[in-house]
Formats: sequence, C-alpha cells, structure tokens
Amino acid sequence: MIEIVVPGAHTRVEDRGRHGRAHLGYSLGGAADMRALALANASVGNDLGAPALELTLTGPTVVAAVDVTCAWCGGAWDVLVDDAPAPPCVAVRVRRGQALRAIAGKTGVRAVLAFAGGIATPTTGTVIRSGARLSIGPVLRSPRQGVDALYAAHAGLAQPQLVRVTGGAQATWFGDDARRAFFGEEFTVSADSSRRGVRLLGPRVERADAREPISEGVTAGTIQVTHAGDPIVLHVDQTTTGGYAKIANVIGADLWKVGQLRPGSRVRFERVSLEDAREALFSWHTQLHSLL
Amino acid sequence: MSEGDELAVPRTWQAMRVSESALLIELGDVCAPLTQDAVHALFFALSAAAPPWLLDLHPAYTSLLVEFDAHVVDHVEVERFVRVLPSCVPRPAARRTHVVPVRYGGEAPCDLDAVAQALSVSRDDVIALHAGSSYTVAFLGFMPGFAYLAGLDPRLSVPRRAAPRARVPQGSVAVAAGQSAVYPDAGPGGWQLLGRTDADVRALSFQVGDVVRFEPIA
Repeated sequence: MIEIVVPGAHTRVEDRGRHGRAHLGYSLGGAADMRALALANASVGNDLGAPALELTLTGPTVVAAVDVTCAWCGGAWDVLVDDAPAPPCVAVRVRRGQALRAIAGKTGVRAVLAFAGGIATPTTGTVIRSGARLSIGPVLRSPRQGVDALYAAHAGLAQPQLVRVTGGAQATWFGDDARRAFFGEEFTVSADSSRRGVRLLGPRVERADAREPISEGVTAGTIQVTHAGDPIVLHVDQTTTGGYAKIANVIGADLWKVGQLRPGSRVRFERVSLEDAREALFSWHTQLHSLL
Repeated sequence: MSEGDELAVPRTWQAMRVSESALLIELGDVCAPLTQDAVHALFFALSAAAPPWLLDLHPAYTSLLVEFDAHVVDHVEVERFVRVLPSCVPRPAARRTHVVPVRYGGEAPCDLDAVAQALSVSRDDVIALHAGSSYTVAFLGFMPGFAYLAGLDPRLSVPRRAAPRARVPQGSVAVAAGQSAVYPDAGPGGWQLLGRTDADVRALSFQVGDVVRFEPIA
C-alpha cells in the first residue's frame, strides 16, 4: 500500500493501454510515454506494461505504508527517497514511512514511477487525488539490472526535440511550401495540449488541395492539420476517427517522445521511410527484450 | 445488398500504408449506403477472421483503418489476407435494434426551434421526421460510445452550428451533416440538438451495423 500525500498536477495510474476497442470509439489509452513505462517496470522486475504512476508537469509525494521497491523513468526529473536522490531506471527500496518525492526538471514533461508488483488498485486512467491509497500487487521477480543503460534516449531529450515521421494519408494534399515548412521548420508546443493531442504553433501548414476530407480512422501519432493550418499530433487518448487532413504519422519507435512534449518547448519533424520506421521499431524491441 | 442477412465482401479497394503498423483501406470517396455496406462487410469479415496480428479496426464513412502488429506481418501480408477473405459475410447475429426514448425540445441547450426555422417547417414536423426514420450505426468515434447514425431523412439536412458548444449535455440527441447521434457523455460538440434521452447510451453499447430508432416521449 502507498499513500499519495501530495497528488501533483495530473498524476494518474496508467498501463500499456488496450487494443481491440477502436470500433467502439475507444482509443488505445495507456501511458503517454510507453518507453518510460516499459523501462520503469523493467527496472523493478514487473511485466513491461504493468500499471504504474504517470506524472505530468508536477510530481507527487508518495508515502510507503509498507516496504516497497520502486523505479522511475522519464524526462529530467529529480526523484528523492526522503532526501536521497534515486537515479533513473534503478530499483530502490522505500521503507515503510519513507516519502518518495518527484520534482520535474527542465526537459520532458512526464515521468513514470513503477512499484515492484505493479499498482493493483483498479484506478487505471483516472487522476489521483490527495489522500488516495493504492495497493501494490504481488512481486513476481527481483529487480532487473542494467536497465539504466537504455535511459540515454530519455536523458538526451534535446531542444528542439526531433521526432521521426512517415507520410500521412493526405500528405499529397499539401503543396511543396507547406511540406517544406512542416518537415523543415520548428514548431512550439501549445499550452492547449493533453493526452488527447498536442497542438503545435509555428509556420502555417497550408493545403494546396481544398477538398474536404472525409472522417477516417486515426491512431496515436497521426498528425492532422486544422483548417487554420496548425498541426495537432494525436496522442494516446485521441478520438478513433478524425476529419482533418493528415500530413504525417509519428513512427512507433518515437511515439513516446510525444508524451514528453512540454508546453512552450520546440519540436521538429524528420521524414523517414516506412522501412526505417519498421527497423526502428524492431531495434527498440530487440533492446528491450535483451533486458528480459 | 443492404438488405438480407449477408453482405458481399468488396474485392476492389485502394490500400494506403499510413504508418508502419496501419493500412487504410479506402472503399470510395463519397458517403453512400453502398460504400457503407462495403466498409461494414470488410469490418465484419476481418473481425470474424480475427487473425492474431490484428490489433484494431477503425471503420469510418468510406474507409477501414487496420492496425496490425508490425512484428508479425507487413502491409503486403495484410493486403493479401484481406484479398482472400470469404466473398460473403453474415451480418453479426448480435445485431440489435435499440429504441431510444427522446424528450424533444425541452431543457436548454436545444436547437429544435432553430432547426425548424432554418428548414421552414414546424417543431412537430422536425420531431416526426427525426423519429420517423430508422437509423444504422455507421461507425463509432469522437468519444467512446458515440455512434454516427446513418439514415437521417434528407429533409432534416442541417449544417453543424457555426460555433461549437463547449459542453453538450449527456444524452443529447443531435443532427448535423446528414447524420444523427446521441452524446453518450457530456462533451464539446457542434451538432444541432433536438432533444434529450435519459437512456444510458453507454450501457446500450451501440455496435457497427445496429439499428436505432427514436421514440418521442412527453
């Protein structure tokens, strides 16, 4: 059992999300940064998609009601057990009565705090309130060593953040100027961003083809462009269909970076081929499974 | 083809590789009943086949987005699988008819008068036209449980509101752009509101292909 003494802005319990319900209007859901979820869980010996705390913008203070083992991964956060810093992707023991504090740093916007055994209270997808008590499941394995070797990608979140994309369903509806702007220039992350979508401000991305798109299926990572020319990166809580023109799709291996886009920070898109996207996905899985 | 218990699985479509793990199958470029049947046939056939690599299906007006596990198959294999689906698919046995009781007019926000005025008909005419049609769940999207209902009488064709509302109440029954819908939860929305239902729309769990009718209550 852990108690959330100070909840933080948007602390939630999240897991790997759920496929298979898009036709009912349900999006994938799950952690906004699936890479952080996998690495934090790997560190404490959990299944990679086990429910964990997702921290956004400001962190919580958590008090352990029993001895627990935990680990975190995410942007450049400071996580303290009482006053001792806990390094990322390394399991640490938190004794009964000790406080775990997470403080957001300068890069990234989210972190995941995983507990050995996973969070067993069925609160997935809801914002955690002050005083909430969450039970921890049975511990399956001992902590895994060496996960911190994979933290480098999170530690290296730079400005502007570089996100790789492939062409979207209506990419050809945009003229050369619009494509040059989209794939060449920087965008600023709007404050009007959430787990549903990240809005971007910057050069107008105007369509050459004025056809009205017909709503069609979209996924986390689909980038739509509004009629005003502003791109929106759809994210894990997106709607399942979208009616704006789709210029690009964030590749699976980089989707976690969308969950680290902090309002006011900058992002740039690099176009890659579908083959590159597949290779990047396989490479990430190979890395991850080498830990297991 | 839209009647009866079987739908023909379409053999002509265009496939677009929209990401390394998704294929967009396009069945036409206008919203029409035949196109909708083709989308539904492919959706039912793929759901029934349930290949282990299938992650999600997103039926829409004229297309079906297929999300797949890129570790298991690639676009070529998915396309090949879709091409050899059985040529006919039964409509799902679970297809249901939902009768949704509606208080037309009534508490704000409501656009019944505005819609009647825009169409130069009476309030009762709008209610009779809306409740007089039988609707088919074309697809779900926008929010969990939000069904796009095809079959609106063309005489009730009104555009979306000029400015969307920040909050449409739960259970609002709405029309816009040739379709009808019921809001399963409160949320932002730009459709024209004709009334409200007390039915728990989430619990009705509309599915693609279900039939929906509206029944006016006092």
